Amino acid sequence: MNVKVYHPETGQKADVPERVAKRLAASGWLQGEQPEMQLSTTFDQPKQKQGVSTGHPAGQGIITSNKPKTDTKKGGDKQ
Amino acid sequence: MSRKAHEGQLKVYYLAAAPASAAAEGDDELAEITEAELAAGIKLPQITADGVDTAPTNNRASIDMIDTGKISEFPGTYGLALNMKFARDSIEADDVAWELFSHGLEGWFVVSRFGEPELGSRVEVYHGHTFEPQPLASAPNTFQQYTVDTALVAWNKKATIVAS
Repeated sequence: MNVKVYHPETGQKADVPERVAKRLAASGWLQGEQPEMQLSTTFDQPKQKQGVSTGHPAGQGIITSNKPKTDTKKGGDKQ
Repeated sequence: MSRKAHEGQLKVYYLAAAPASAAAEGDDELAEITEAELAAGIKLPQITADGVDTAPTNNRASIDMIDTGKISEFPGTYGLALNMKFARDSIEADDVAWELFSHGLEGWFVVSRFGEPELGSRVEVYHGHTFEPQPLASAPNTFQQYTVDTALVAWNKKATIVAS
């Protein structure tokens, strides 16, 4: 019987016989499907509050006003 | 002198899944194996001294010209096989290739001919499916051995180990 395995470091996936999966375990392979959280960490950035200078170089995302944004569709923390 | 004999140099790894460079085409296909992909593989140290044979099939389109008597040839269909030979081991945990391979198992084989592969090493990569391990005929004064043949899909004999 085949089982699904994945390697959390390389992102490789395979469908292999059980005895092969047993051997692969010694090389760091895990049985099952790779959890989605391990596929991407793009959205785990900490959010910043409005009105707080981030210390970024000029023109790169410095928020200069405490006025709340009117367009909330594009993200940003609500006050 | 940097020339090497085979002893102590030949290393073979089995990878259960495609390396990232498998998706490339042409000369770039299978051209790179990352260090992490290699570390995720299974080393096959039970390979015998004569245990790695890449048997080519090179067919030719040929035509015999009566005017000159010259046989003119051009490269035709071609193929490659990776035929391996291993020493059997009575302890199951050490009988790696015997336990691992079966008819139709897909694999990517990394062959290093100049010692343990590391960053920058030049290696060969063979992608194919294995046949059932086949014990050699019994014989006196001989350790027990078996062969594992493969039917190859693709290969790259000029691959490199790259950083992950």
